[in-house]
Amino acid sequence: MSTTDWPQQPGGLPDGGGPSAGGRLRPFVKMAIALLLLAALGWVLLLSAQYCETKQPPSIVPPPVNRLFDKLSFEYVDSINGLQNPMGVAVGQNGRVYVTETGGERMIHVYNSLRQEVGSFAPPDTEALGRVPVYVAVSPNGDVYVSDRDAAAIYIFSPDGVAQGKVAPPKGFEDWHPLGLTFDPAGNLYVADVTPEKHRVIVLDPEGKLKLNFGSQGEEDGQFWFPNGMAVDSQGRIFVADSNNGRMQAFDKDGKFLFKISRGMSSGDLSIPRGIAIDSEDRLLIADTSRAAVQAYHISESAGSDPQSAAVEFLGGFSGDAGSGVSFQFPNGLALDGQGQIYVVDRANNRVQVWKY
Amino acid sequence: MTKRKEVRIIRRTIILIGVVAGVAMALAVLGGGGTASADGGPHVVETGATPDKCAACHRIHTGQNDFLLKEAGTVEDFCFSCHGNGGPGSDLAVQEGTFYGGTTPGFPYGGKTASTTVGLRAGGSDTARINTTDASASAIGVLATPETVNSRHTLETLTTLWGNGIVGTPGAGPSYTLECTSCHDPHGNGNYRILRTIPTDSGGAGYAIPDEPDPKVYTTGDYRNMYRGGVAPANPITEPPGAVPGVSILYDTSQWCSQCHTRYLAESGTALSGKPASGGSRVDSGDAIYTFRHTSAGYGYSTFSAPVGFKYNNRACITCHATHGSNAQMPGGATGTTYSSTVEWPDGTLSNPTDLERASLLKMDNRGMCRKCHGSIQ
Repeated sequence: MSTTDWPQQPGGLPDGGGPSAGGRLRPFVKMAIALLLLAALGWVLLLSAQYCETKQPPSIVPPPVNRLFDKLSFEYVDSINGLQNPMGVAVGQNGRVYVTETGGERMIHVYNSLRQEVGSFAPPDTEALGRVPVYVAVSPNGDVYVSDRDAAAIYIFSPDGVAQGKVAPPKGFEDWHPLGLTFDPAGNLYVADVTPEKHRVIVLDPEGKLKLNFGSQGEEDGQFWFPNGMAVDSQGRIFVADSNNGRMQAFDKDGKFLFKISRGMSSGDLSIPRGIAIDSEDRLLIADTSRAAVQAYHISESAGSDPQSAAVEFLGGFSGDAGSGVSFQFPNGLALDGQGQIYVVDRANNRVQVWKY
Repeated sequence: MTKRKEVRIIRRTIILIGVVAGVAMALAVLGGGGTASADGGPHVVETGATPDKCAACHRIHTGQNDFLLKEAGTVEDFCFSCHGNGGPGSDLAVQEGTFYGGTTPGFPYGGKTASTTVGLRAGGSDTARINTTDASASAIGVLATPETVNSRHTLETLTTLWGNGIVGTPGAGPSYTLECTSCHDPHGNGNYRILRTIPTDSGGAGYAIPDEPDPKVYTTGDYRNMYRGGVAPANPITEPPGAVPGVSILYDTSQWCSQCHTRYLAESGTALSGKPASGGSRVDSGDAIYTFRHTSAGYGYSTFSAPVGFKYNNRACITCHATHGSNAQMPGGATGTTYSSTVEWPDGTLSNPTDLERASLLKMDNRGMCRKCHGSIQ
């Protein structure tokens, strides 16, 4: 039977649009098949590309979302002004705030909890141009540790800024370039080392002995490219702002890679993370210098150990409001005071912004 | 068309798609889609179908700055977020004039025993480590502690682009606001230090400076000698061009500098017997301001005892000038003379005699750079 034997529908069908009972397929059926095949091809190519990027088996089904926490809201509080090229911030005993600056006189400035400056100090026997204090951390006993990549040193000060000496690099790490610093509750010191071609994390026990080191320079999971800020949670999990790789990597207490928050353009993705801190409720805050924002995440208790459970939930963030004059320009260091306040170094605006959540 | 034929076509299509998909997966498994080795660090765009490094700096629909940059602020602030003091995101701390990656054995470490920190060859934007009083005959050393720069390629400020335009152009040069990205291509391009082939708005015709092979040399203990490690070229008559890969690191940077400072360039003139082609200083260029000029074409190796036939005259712009900024100053001579500070700028203005910007990015105080080559003139 030829197609001309089929009765025409009211209004008519397009040319060649008859059914295929006589051995021919309708064009729209052919088109649908072709589209399906094309879609399948595109999907396969997409998975291939995804594999190329991640070197991980492609994830076909999105992981379940674990919504235990409400989204956070943030509110601007105040700023500490008058700094020059500040980079690092830490909160110590009695709410004292320590800020490092890499411009001007390159001091470590000290503020009380009311954000009034109560003093400043610098590494002994140095002049302004001979030092570059970058990051700062406060040990559980209140001592203040300051990294200076230029001097390949970590200086130790009392809470009042009296010099106590320097941290000796462990054997085999004498060429270190210390950058980011943090402590865990047990007093172990974590050092982000950016020695050329040896980017890694070095952990020293309270006696200054090498406890752990992990990572190498590169782009694979577990490797680093300019690690900056770090934080340690109550489980001993170590969170590292892997700055130039545009991600946050999490490790267990033995330095084994657990999971990451990746670079990207979607909500919650990172760009160039620098400062990082975690609060008592496992909420991780990250200052992203090129995204000009601070972003918060909830880290699940089983993150990294249960592949079926979402490790991270994005809780929102803040980037200031250009209209109100509190926007960030290249934020860097970040610290929490334990009272719900966040200190964010606003480097190019020469200030530290204080927010609460 | 018969059903059999159509089925055959569909079957072939499915097989073709399967083959394509299989090849794609095979390429993926074999690592054909990995990221590129960085020529300029994160500046180089990734290969592959799904790069995401773009997201480090750009937003497609919500950019807050020119070129879809995510963040408001100056280009200088943007670049210094990695290349700033302390080097939080780079071994090249341009702001402080420090290179943190000087691992080449034998290089000076700026007086630091446990560090590989050295001075940047090009100086810095805020500070530099150039030993601007180095009395040695042929070298300029590195300072352990950086000093504040006194002159620099000023960024983010409307300033004069000295000597821009063809020879004979009226005036000393147009006004221009320089940014880091005027000279450097943040996406990488294979040129030496990701320099743009044509500096933005220079009006030049373009001059590429090929990248050097790894390991790159960003610094030196000898700020005058632009050869790798401060060594002499093996054959100064033929080298370069015909340069030895891995030895010659600069390919006539004067041509590149002249993309902007066009009227300064005097490549050659009437050669004097037995000397390099230095006759440019005796040739009237025809320009009302830049009339007679020191020759400044070459590759940076500087010695006046060059053999006859040394046709590359070794006076690259950067033999004498530090590109980013210099801590050199013009305090005047030992007898209290202040000749330099009374020499007018090309536009005819006179600065304050104590204006440190008189240093003009030179690598030695006063006219110390003259002495480096013309040591016999007392």
